[in-house]
Order: sequence, then C-alpha cells, then structure tokens
Amino acid sequence: MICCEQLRTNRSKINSVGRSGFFGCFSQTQRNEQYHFCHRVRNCVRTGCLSGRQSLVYVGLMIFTCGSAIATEPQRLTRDGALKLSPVFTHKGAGVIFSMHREPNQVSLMQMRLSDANPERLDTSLVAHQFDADVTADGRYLCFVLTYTSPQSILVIRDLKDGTETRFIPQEARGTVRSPKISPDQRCVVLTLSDPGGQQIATVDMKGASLRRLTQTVGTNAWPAISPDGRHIAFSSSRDGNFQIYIMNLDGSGVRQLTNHPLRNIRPTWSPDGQRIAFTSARDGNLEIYVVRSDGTNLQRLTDHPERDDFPAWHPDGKRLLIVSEREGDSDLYIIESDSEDVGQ
Amino acid sequence: MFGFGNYSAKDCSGWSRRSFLQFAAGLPMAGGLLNAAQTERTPQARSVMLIWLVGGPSHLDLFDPKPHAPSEYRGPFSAISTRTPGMQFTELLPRLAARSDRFSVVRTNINYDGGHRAAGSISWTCGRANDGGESGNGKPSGYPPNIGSIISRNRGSGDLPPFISLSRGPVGDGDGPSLGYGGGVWGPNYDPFMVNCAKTGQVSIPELKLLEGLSPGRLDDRRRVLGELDRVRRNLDRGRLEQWDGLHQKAFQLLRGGRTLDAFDLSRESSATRTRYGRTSFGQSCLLGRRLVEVGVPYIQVNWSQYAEVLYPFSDYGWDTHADNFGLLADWHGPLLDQAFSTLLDDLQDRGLLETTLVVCMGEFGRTPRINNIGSRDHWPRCYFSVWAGGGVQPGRAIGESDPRGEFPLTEPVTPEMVGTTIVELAGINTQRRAEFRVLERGRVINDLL
Repeated sequence: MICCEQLRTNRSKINSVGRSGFFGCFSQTQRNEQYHFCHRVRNCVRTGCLSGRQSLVYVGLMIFTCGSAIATEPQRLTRDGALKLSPVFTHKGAGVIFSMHREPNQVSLMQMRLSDANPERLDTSLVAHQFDADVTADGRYLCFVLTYTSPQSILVIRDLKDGTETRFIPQEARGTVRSPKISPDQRCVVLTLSDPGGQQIATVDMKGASLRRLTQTVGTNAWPAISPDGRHIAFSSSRDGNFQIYIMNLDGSGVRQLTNHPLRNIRPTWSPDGQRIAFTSARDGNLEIYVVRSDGTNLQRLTDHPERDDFPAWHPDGKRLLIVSEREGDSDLYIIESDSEDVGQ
Repeated sequence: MFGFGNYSAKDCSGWSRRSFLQFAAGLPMAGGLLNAAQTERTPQARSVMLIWLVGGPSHLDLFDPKPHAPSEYRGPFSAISTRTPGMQFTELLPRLAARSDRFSVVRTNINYDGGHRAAGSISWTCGRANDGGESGNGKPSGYPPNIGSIISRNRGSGDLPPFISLSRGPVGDGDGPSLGYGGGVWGPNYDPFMVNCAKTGQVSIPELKLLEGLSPGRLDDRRRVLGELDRVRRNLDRGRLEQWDGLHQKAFQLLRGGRTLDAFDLSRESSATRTRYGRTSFGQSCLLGRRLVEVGVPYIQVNWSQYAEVLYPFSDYGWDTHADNFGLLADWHGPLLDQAFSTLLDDLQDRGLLETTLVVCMGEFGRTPRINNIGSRDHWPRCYFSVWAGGGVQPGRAIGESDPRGEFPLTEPVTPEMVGTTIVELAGINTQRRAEFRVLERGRVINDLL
C-alpha cells in the first residue's frame, strides 16, 4: 500500500507537470520525475497493488510519461567503459577530447568525432600520463597536463598551427598542475597549482611564464573555468569549510560565493553565453549535474541517476552538455540537454 | 576470458624466472607436500579477503573525518552520517556509509615504518625483517611468513592454491615489491599464487607464462594446453624436469580442476553483476575474489593496484597522493572504492557468504593529518584505519578513537601483530597452533571486534 500512496502523491505531481507543457516542453527535472514515476507505476502493476480500472489509468499515465522521458534520456557516445575524466568539445562541437585510463599504467588523451564515436589516442607515442586537456575555440591551441618527474606534473601548451610547445613546471619537485583552461583571448592559461603555498588557482601566459597566484587562501582551490567574455573565473574552494563554487574576477579580486550546501559542489563550467554555470554536486546523495545562473539563482538539477554523473562540459550551442556517467555501470561519455528554455525565468 | 599473462621475468621485483620455478615447484597445492593439519575448531572465517589499498589511503578523507579540526588539517570533504550511531565517514563514501551496519571500522591502527615497502611487509607479516628488509639488502626470507601463508599452511592443499594474490605483479612501489609478500622464512613454498584480473575481466596467470616452450594460448582450451604441457615435459632433460615438475603439476592440477578453474572465468557472471563492481581492474578483482571465496580458497589478497604511487610515469593508480590528494580522491579513488567495496559486501551478504568470510580493507598506513605545503598529504603510520566485515566480526562498531586532528590514537593502538592475530584467530588458528608454527606467539586479538 505504501507504493500506492506514493503513486497518489506523484499523480498530483504529474498532473501539474502535464499542465505545464507537453512532451518536449517539460523541463529536465520534470522529465526525471516522470521517468521515475513510470517505474513506480510499473512496479505497482507487477506487485498487484493496482487492479482493473486503476491499472488502466496508471498504465495510460505510464505510456504518456515514458514517451517523454525516454525521448530525453542521455545519449551515450562511448561504450568502452574505460575510466574517463575531463571531456571538452572541439571543432565547434563536432569533436571531443577527454582523458581515459587506457592501460593500467597509462592515462591518455583521446580524441573522437561525434559522428563516428571512435576514440583514438591523441599522442600515440607518449608513454607518460597525459590528461586534463583544453582546446581553444579556433582550434589553434591545445593545453594539457603531463606527468614529468615523479610525481611532478606539468602544463604543456601546444600551438597546433606551428607545432611548437611551451611548458610550465611547478617549483616544487612534487608540485602539480591540474585543470588548465585557456582564456578566450588566448593570452593566459588558468590552472590549479599545487606548489608551496598550497593548492591555489593561478595563471601563466601562453609561454608558460608570468605565474600569478589568484588565490592564496586556506583550504583547497580547484577546477577553474574562465567565462566566455574572459572577465571571470568560476572555481571550487573549501576556504569556508567544504567545496563550494565561487566566482572571481580574472585578476583574483571580487570573490563571491555561488553555492552553499553541506555536500560538495565541484567542477564549474560556464555556458557559451556566460549566463549559466553547470557543475557537479553531491547534494542529493550522489554525484549529479546541476546548472545555476551566474548570479546564483534558478538552480536546476539536470541528471537524476543512482550512479555517478560528473565532469560536465558545455556544447558550443549551449543546449547540451557532455558528461561522464556511470549510469550503465561503465564509465562513458553521454550528452544531456541543458534545459535552455528555463533561462530567464 | 582466460589468457596467458605477460609476466616479465625480469621486472622490478627481482624475481628471476629461476626463482619463480623454484617456488612453484613446492607450492602446497602442487604436490601435496605439506601436511594439511586440521584446525582444532571450526574457523569462523572459512575464507579471508584482504582488500589491500596500497599507497596509504588518507584516513581523514575517508573513514575518520575530523570536521572540527583546523583548516590545515580538516580537508575539503564534508563528514556524513552512517548507519552506525556516532560514526561518520566523508562524503566520498556514501554507499559504504549506508552499509556501515555490515562492518566495523578500527581507527587506531599503527605501523612501525613510514615507507611503502617495509610498512606493507610489516602489515602482511606482522613482524620485522631479520636482515634489514627493504632498507638494507634484505630478502623475502628475512621476513616472517605472510598472514596468507600462515593460513594456507594451516589449511593445506586443495584444488586451488590456498593463497591467491590478485595483482598485475608483485605489489610495492617504484623501488620494488614489499618483501613480505609470501612465505618469508618458511620459504617460497608458501608464496601466493599470482593472478592478474584486467578491467575487462580477463584473467591471466603470469606464472604459466614461465612454462618453458609453452606457446601462448587460451586456458579455456584446456585439452590443447594439457597436450602442450605434456609435449614440453617430454622434451625436458632430467635435471630441468625436476625443477620444472612443480610448476607443471601446479598448472596441471589447475587445468584439470574443472569446477575450480571455472572460478577464474568472470564471463560466467552476468553483465549486471560485473557492472555493479565497476569495470576497473580493482572492481573486477573484487568480483573474482568473491568467486574464489565461493570455491573455498582460504586467503585472497585483492590489490587496489600494483604500485603505491599514483600518476608517476611508470605507475598505475595507488593511494600515494603526495600531490593533489583531494582532486585525485574526488576524481577517482573515492568513488571507485565506494562502488567496488560496497558491492562486494552486498554480494557476499546476498549469497550468504559474509558470515563465513572475513573481509579486511586497509593500506600500509594513513596520510599526514596536517596538509603539506603543496596542499596534499604525505605518509602517516602513527594512526590510520582498517575496515572489518564478516567472518566472526561484530558489525556496526567504531573501534578506538583518534585524537581531534587524527594524528594519534586516543585509545589503545592496534598494532600489525593485533591485526594478524585477529585474522588468523578467526581463520581457526588458535594460540596453540600459532605456537606450533612459531608465529604471532605474542599477538593479541582485537577484542572489540569480536
């Protein structure tokens, strides 16, 4: 009977959903609710909690809701199941670069066209670990992290036009670079630097020089992302206790907190129009993808799955996001919708 | 799903092909060379699984959070409630937090060495080397026998090796393996049988690669491999034959043991089950470990990785997070451990195996409570954790208490001897038997676990 009570509760929910639009007009959150509702209906029919006319009504609802939910299920791009992280779109959204745990002792950068979804190694002869790539919109520059001496990792900036490479090497023998992002004006790279002074957000120029620490706080600062207009950086920091999303100016000034939740909020990434920030949060019990306006309003949950959804990256069209998800058990790339119709509400 | 491994006869372990053949020649299951003494009472743990987190997992960032510690200690991860009253984990372990009624956590483990190799050996053997160990020119024979070797000697031979270690190769760090991996002073007869389980679930047995003249093939084509073994054997001269025969018998018995050999075949598991464990080498090794428990293997060591280091140019993905500890734990280590270990506990419970299987999850030490100058954590053997489930352990307990910064035990420290003694005691090796074996004679069990 408990499940029937749940159904009654959810029936009212879905009625309100039905009034708000039809099929594709539902928000992602509403569609997620419908999807789970449809499973609950099915279970009730199976267990005999519903009978006769009740069943028909609920089955009708189930068909209605399944139609919309299935149509918006994430699109799975890869099927190899190997551990992946930090995907980014390339070639105006036609391609992807991501890091993959390809061999037991090898994390490699992989590139893939969306049209054939066939990942290939970016640098086939490289024996070191290579991860956390970023590519400029015009495709000229590629940057990534490379393990160097043990356990130091360095930043590599590659000019794909003339084939030259520059490097930034942390000061400490065990210092590391993570999550480099090239500024839209291609003048600097913002990165997470673990070096004397702690784990901070910093910038270097395109020659790997002119290091500038933007944060110098207690706690951990990580996962920086530059806004499309190049004026702001979103990042995660535990300066106030646990990981929250913050925004600051490109010079490190004007820091303001965007999220406030007891569980971690990490990996912010700006939408192409600079209006929204997608990020990963554990606020609902496991890692899911959320989006919020850059002023902190209109928080939306984009995924709802018992397995991990992580590493969001915006498609250049601003309507879709690339994520790494374990929803089929394996670690694979998926595309989800970003619910752009809700912006401005 | 089976294939011959790609074992390199000359790797950092220093195990030569010759030494491998020599140890294999005398393995207990190979020729029944050992007397399989019956234990004096039925063991509470018919099998033991040691889930080995090589590299030193951070206790503050996993099972012993300190949310009220100063920021230079606390770390960025929030503490979450578990099903055990008063016990918190960090938010990296939500699934294990929801299952904390199935296991107990010791929070006052200590070790006597701050290096991966020596600390690993001390953890596995519950003692120190008599020849300088890893810091000198020590040899495996300088260490007391591994806990797995003690249990395998006590349990004796069977269709499958009594001590199996699941790893790509000898476990240690970039300088070499921990020398206490096997029989130690008892000799190589009691070394573990190494099995590699890839993330695809493909299982390979590196030792069989050493069968001279045996061409690579698939173990599931059993008839052909047996024929090949015979052919190779006929071509050996007498001297080499004696040396070779132990390994030959070992391979022969394994290949002939149809039901037991099937235990290595993960393709017999449903895709859903394999997926639940996570398609990682560690996840699939946990699943393989469960299958080995089902066929009665007494001691299985499931290794997180071969190397302690993480993202060194040569290494796989150990827990040695000197740099970027928090990023790495958030990206990989935390979620992967939470998924595989919680699934293992569920699976053992669902199959009615947890009651008779002791599962111990730990590393050689923890990590510095005080965050280092590059925002990460270093080695810390003075206080860390171990997780205990099944096999006679009372679940749902937090055993011992560390100080508010996680630096030192506030209650009685749990020594490696106490860990080893508790494991072998639950495996049915009592005080008298330990005295006969001359092992752990002064050890005490962790009473709060029982």
